[in-house]
Amino acid sequence: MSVRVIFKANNQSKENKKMLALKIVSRAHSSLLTFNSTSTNKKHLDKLLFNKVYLSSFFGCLQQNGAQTSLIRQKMKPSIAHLMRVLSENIEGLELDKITPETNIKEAEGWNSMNALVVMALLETEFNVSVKVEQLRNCNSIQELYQLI
Amino acid sequence: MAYLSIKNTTVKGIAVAVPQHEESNEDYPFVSEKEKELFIKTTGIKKRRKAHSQLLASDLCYEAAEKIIEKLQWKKEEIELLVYVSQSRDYIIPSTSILLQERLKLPKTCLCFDVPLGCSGYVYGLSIMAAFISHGQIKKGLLLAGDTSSFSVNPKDKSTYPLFGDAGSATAVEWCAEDMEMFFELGSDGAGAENIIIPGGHCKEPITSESLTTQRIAPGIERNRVNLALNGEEVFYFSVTQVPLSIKNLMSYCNQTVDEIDYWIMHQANKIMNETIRIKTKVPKEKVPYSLENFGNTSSASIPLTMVIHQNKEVFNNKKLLLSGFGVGLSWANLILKTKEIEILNLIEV
Repeated sequence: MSVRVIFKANNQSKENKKMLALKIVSRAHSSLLTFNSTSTNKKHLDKLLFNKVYLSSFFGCLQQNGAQTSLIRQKMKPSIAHLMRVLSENIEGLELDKITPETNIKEAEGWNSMNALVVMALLETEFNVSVKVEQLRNCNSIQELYQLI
Repeated sequence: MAYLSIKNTTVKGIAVAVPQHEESNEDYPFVSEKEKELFIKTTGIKKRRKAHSQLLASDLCYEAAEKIIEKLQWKKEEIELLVYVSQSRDYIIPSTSILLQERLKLPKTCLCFDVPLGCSGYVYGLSIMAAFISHGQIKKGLLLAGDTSSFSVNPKDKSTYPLFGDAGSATAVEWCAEDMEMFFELGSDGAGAENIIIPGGHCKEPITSESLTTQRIAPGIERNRVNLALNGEEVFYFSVTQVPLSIKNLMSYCNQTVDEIDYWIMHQANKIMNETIRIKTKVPKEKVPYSLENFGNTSSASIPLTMVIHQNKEVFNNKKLLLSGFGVGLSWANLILKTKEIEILNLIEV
């Protein structure tokens, strides 16, 4: 699950703000494995989007630089790439470099009802989504599965 | 949902008996090696205890009951309540609890009845025991809960046979003057009845020669009409959505939080289901013991069995426990229980 982080840096000079933004982006690239994108340098608002696991590291960085921070957490839909990675890590026969959004996971080699439970469990624990059996049965591609999240 | 708050009742002792005979899922012959490996990894079940055809759930419960009565030095004439929770009862008529009253040499003044529930049955049984005993007129009672599910499953049904193990338990429940409050939350969903069912062999579908004809349902799944049929995916969905919600509701009802719970003893359905429920409920691993690996899903006996095989039985003394049963019915029950000293016996093998 990703979160959108909005921080205010209005106690900083324009130059400092630029430096701060650079440091944060640099920090993000070096430590935030699932860093996605930046949308920075609006007048008093900078935005970063990254995995919640690294929030504490992010705020450590902000505090070191003396920024007044405020946080708005907003649940964001994870990417289909994230779903594909989670599926490939947990289901034998789904290799990340061989699957696409069009792949039908039920056609994976060795697929059986146990795998269906694994998918339902992953959706519950990794994506916080309860998927009904009928919904899962009707999914014929990872893209369709992604639409349930 | 039904909520109950019951005082003046305490669990004094627990004993569990299992058959000596053990089966390993690594030896299950009707699936490929790869499927076997996936099954064990996903369910967490490596071995199960299996009763021979002459060893009934009531026999296992009887052994457990004798041992706990002896350990607690209870006088049998003081036991006035016996509830037998099982779906493997000796007969349709009469109730097995009444046969056990005679066999255990309990007095004729003992109130006995059967409760034909499965995975939720242990917690339902405790709610019944507590409801009777809290009044203070009946001071001592036995909850006997156990199943020989292996009798109901077809060996060629990979969706049931490697899941279930056999066990029988006895829990001694006693009136106490202290306010040992128990909080229950219990519920039912009959819309899911067909997801765990033995369809044939009773009034709705009386037994005929056709009832015993094995049918091929899917690859690796063969059974007849008197065998247990399980829709694992539907039961999974029910359990991982209903149980976390029920626990949240129970906590709200009694104004407590899951952080206050010392141990959460869940019905042992299978690892992936139980772990999904645990993660959703945000309870740390170390608070949730398991018995699945060596005993499988032991139905109504799974909660006491999990306590009995714990390395350090004293960890359950003077603690706040959450007990959760869920499954066939569909049905569920949760209990927050504050314990004193519980006499938990070593596992009995019969």
